[in-house]
Amino acid sequence: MSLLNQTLEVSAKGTWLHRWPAGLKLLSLFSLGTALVLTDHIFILGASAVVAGLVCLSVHWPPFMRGSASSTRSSVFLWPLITLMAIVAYIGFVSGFEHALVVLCRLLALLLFAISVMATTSVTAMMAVVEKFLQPFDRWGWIRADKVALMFGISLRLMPVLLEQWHEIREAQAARGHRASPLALLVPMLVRTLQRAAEMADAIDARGGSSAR
Amino acid sequence: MNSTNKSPRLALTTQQMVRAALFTALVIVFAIIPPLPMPFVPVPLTLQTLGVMLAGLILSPRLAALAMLLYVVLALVGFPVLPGGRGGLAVFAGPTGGFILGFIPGAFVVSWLAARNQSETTTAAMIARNFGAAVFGGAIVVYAIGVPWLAMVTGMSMDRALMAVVVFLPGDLVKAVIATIVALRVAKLQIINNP
Repeated sequence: MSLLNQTLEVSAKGTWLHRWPAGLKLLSLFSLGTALVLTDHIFILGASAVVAGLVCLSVHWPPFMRGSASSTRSSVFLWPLITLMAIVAYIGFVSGFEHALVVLCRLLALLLFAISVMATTSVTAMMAVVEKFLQPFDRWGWIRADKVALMFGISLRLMPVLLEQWHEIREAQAARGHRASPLALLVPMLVRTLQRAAEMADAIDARGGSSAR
Repeated sequence: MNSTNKSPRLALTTQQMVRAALFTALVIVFAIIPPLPMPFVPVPLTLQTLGVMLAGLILSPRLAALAMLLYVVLALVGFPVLPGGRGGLAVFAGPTGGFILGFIPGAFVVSWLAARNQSETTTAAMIARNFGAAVFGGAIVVYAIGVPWLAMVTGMSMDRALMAVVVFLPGDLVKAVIATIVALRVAKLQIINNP
C-alpha cells in the first residue's frame, strides 16, 4: 500500500519477536518504562538503549530497505527525533550534560523498544490483550472491556491512516501552490476525520458491532 | 451478559466511541508531525495542545475527556505517542508529566464551557465564548496541573516554574484563536453534510 503504512504497520515477516505473545510484549514495554524511571545509572540506561537498538534492528533488518522511497520514509521519524534532541539539549542546558545523557538513553531505549513491539504485534492481538486485562473490571460492571479494547484498537490502527491523510492534504495544498496555512490544513483534516468516524461507526454497527451484547 | 447493571444514559454508542478514538489518533498525529509555519508570526505552531482544544470544541465534555484519557493511557503503556516519540511511565515521572495529565480535565473544561448550540447566540458571541473556553480549558487548566507538577519534580519554586512556562502563553492564545475558527468552520460543514 502506501509508504507510511509500510513504516508503521506490522511487518509480515516473522521474526523472533513476532512469536512472543502480545500480552508479554505489552507487559515488557510497560515494565521497561517503569524500570527505567527507577534508575539514574548511566551504564544501565546506556546498555538498555543499546539492547533496545539491537532488538529494533533485529526485527527491522535491513533498517532502511523496506518501502520504495527511503527518504520519505525516514522523514516520518525525523521530526520526533529533532524534538527529542531539542528536549535533551534543553535538559543539558538546565541541569548538565550527564543528566541529559541519562534522559537521552532512557527515552531512546523506550522509543526503540516501543517501535519494535508495534512492528511485530497486530492491533487485533493488542486488542485481545486489553480486553483480557480489563475482564475483571468488566465483571464488576465498571466498564465494557470489549468497548475499551475497540477504542484502543481504533486509535492505534487509525494513527498511521490519519498521518497519511495529513500528508495528502499538505500535498494537495502544495499542488495548488498554497503556502501551508494552518486553517487550510486543519479544516479538511478535521472534517475528513469526522466523516471517517461516521463511516467507521456505521460499518461497525452493520457488522453487528460492539454495542449489542 | 451483564448489560443490565449499566444505566443506558452512560452507555456509549458506536458513533461516540469511534469519534473519541479518532480524536485520540488525531492528537497522536498532532504530537508527532512538525509544527506548522504561520503567516505573520515567525514562530511555528506546535499542534498538540491545539488537538486538546479542538477535541473540547468539537466533542461533548465526556467524549473529549475520554479521548484524552485514552491518549494518556496509550502513553502510559509505553507507546511513543508524545512529542519526540516519547512514552512510558518515564515521561509522567518527568517534568512535563503534569501537562499531559492536564489534557484530560483540560479538554473536559473546554467542552463544558464551549457554546455548542449555534441557534441560541450570534456567531460573534459564540466565537468569543469558544475562544474563552479554549484558553481556560486548554491553557489555564492544563497549566494549573502542569506547573505544580513541574515545580515538584524539578524542585523549582512555584514562581520559577510559572516563569518557565509563561513563554508558552502567547502561543496558546494563538492556538485558541485557530481552534475556535477551525471548530466553527467544521461545525458549519457538518451541518451542510448531515442536515
